[in-house]
Amino acid sequence: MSTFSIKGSDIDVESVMATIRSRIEEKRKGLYTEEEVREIAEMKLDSVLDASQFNSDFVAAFRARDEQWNFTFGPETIYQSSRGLAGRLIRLARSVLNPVLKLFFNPNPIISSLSRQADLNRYYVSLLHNMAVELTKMNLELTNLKARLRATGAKVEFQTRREKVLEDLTTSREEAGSGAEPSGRRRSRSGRRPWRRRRGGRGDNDEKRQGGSERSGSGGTGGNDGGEKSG
Amino acid sequence: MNGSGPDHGQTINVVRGAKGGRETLPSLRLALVVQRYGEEVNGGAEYHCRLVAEHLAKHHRVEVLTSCAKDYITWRNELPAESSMVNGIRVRRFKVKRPRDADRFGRISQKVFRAPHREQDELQWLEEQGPYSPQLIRFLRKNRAEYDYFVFFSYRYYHSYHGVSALADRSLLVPTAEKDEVVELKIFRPFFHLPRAIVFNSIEERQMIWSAAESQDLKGDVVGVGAEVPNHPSPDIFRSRHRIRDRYAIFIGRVDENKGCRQLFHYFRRYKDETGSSLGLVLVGGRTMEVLDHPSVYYAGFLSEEEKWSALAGSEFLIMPSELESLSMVTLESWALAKPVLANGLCDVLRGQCQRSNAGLYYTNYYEFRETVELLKEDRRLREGLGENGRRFFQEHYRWDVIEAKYNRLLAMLHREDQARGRVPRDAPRGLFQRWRERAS
Repeated sequence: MSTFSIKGSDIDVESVMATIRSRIEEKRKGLYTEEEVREIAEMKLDSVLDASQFNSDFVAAFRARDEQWNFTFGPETIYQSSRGLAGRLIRLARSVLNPVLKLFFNPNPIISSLSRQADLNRYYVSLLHNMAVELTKMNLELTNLKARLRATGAKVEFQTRREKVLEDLTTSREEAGSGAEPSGRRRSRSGRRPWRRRRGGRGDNDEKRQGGSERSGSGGTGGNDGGEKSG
Repeated sequence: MNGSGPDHGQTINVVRGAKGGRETLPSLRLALVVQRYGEEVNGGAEYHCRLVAEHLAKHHRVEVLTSCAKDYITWRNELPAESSMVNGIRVRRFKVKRPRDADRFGRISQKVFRAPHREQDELQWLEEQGPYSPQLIRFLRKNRAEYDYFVFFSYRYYHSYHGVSALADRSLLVPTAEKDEVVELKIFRPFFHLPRAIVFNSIEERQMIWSAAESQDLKGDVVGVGAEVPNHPSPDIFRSRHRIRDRYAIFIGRVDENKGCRQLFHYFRRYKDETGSSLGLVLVGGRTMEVLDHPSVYYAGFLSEEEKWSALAGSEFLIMPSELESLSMVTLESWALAKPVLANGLCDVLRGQCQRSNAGLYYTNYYEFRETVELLKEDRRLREGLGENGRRFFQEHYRWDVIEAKYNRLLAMLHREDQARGRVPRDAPRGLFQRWRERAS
């Protein structure tokens, strides 16, 4: 399979890799690259996802509302304030009063759970994104397979027609070659297949049918064959 | 100091720089400081340290200072806090003050890597990560005069940060840095300027540390680590013992998600499905995840050194799927045996090494994986050519005598500078005042 001619020190890994990449390009011509798939996944996925009633903008919308889910919840968060200098004082006061607060309830489990929730949120978004990419890949692959199936079907149809034409051509040539023989007899020779020329067994019915058709086609000239089998 | 190595007073010839000038270096007293140590410890940096210790002991008096931990997740004290000998090297172990609290470590990691934070938080992260052993740092401060130089392994741990900070003028750092977010922490920016010299594992690692330190004026050299190649590995014995008939690619290391094994399994299964290739995959090493259940995948488990080399010798090529490597020792071992490597191209170090050595291919996605595997499997001449380049690369840069010479050159440089500065000769008797001043400093 190799196209590389190599002597030990002649190898240039970068040129080998370049050849490999071009070979991949060649094989995947017409298919999407990983980056393209990712780009497509970032686009609207309506055509892919409508069937399952899934809003394709979901990931984008979710990401747009970044601050609503992508938050960090640390031990200091519950004391924070956004009011500038006053906020700092408030924060200081809250921190000072923290021991008093802890007399009423323990905020640590809440901080811990919310911190984990923040992690989970990020994880879910990543999962969602990956799922959308995978789904897009599947869809593209399905489209590709459908196209290939259609192409294969067309090829098969073409081959069937070609076979028929060739068969007819052979028959007419043979007919032209042995013009003296009666047509019914010739038909029976060319139509009969050697493995069916035996007594009894599975071939009998076929032979009978063949014989019958010959009889009906040639007005009794093939009676010999038919009689032999049915007898 | 009662370290292992040649007698005091012995000298070593050191070739200085590319011009080949020679100088002599006296046998020094070296302390190698590392987070874990021992034959049963199989982490990359720890194994690296053990090999360096055993080889430097040929030239210098070497002692290892480490923790009592064996497990790099909990850092529990499992070994006695005493002095012992490991492969002829004196090892002093110090207790870890507290094992890692996963919850606390998780919370502080969250804060340090995901939220605005102060330097104090990063220092706390360092403590929580472990192995937190103030006893070791106290020993270093107290006994600094007993050693000429301290070589700290793994920048990201407590012992290195506080050890180098305490003994900056006598320290060398072997960072074993990976491309992750730790290197970007604020505390490490000034830290990388502290040691007298940095022993880098690769050009890529040096680049990363230069950029983290925001400076290229860090003294040091790209050194790495060597490998002892056995004379006659026996692939046939390995094959017959494990009943492996097909040709195979090999992965050596911890079967772990962080080492890229999940992706490797995924790619390999798809490759087999698509190509129907007969190539097998042999996995050697401990595991922390489920191994792919496939008739062509054979998990050999943890093997002895001898058997590992035999397995490697019998393979077609080595696969290194890890994205985070500061130096892959198994890659060097593979090249030592003239076996090509297929590396994860997303790892700058591995990719750079493959490109510089011309001894390995790399992949960055499945399609490249499939093509490179198929090419390496089918093209014997390419395999041999890459392998030959690998062997040459190994001989030039990673033979042990080359590595030892590089360490000695660095030590000679420091020694020369110290002499020029008129630092107190180490054998000169020190008065009470001098000792007090040394301790106070």
